[in-house]
Amino acid sequence: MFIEEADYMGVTVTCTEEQWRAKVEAGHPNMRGKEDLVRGAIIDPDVVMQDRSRPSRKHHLREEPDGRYVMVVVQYDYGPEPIRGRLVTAFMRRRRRQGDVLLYSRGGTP
Amino acid sequence: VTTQLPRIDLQSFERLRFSYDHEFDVAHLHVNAPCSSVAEEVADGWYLFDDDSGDSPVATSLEIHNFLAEVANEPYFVGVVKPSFDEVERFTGKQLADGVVAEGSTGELPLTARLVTFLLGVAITKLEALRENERIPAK
Repeated sequence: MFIEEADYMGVTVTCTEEQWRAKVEAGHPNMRGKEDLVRGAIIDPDVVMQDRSRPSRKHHLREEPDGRYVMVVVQYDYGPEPIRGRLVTAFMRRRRRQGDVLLYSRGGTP
Repeated sequence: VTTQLPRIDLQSFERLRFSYDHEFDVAHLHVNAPCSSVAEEVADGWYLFDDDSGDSPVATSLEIHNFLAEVANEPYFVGVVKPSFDEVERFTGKQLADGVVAEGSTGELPLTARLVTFLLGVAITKLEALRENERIPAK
């Protein structure tokens, strides 16, 4: 598995190398070689936001030194099996949007 | 934060890339080849990318989440989306619902080129409205 990390809740989030190339690098070439930033946003995000359309989807954001955010979208599969997360996409984002529902903030303050 | 709205550079728009990820219902539409870009969420699930070139950013792509579920079948969009879907399916020989990647010139994919231009315009309008709303405190 190319990415296999426990998120802020301890849920394992995965992404194969093929998925990484097809879902992330192909559309976002500036993410090439930034898999460690994505791992960091999964393991230790600054904030986690609820996706506004899908309850099973969350956005993990981590600010970089240049003020941009690494954003990792994770799909969580709930069911009889243990919860698992699958990486939907990841890219660089300029800023956070007002009004997002905050699920987690490192340090407790948004 | 960049204050200028991204612009669509039609003169350099020669090729496009349309991808649809059926596993997660995500569409990504690129002007020319994918390039280094940064995103702003302009509406729920709409991510507009620009080339991060400071005062005069150029729109480079648009990623739309929940594309089939929430956008493609909307009456407002279906008139431009459906012809493009048919074109992409003919071009790739694959069904959109199975996931596709179509890369070609604007001449090879003229209807999809129109779709890209139209949706980028919609996204820029959404960004303008979002910035305006964020400047005005909610009552």
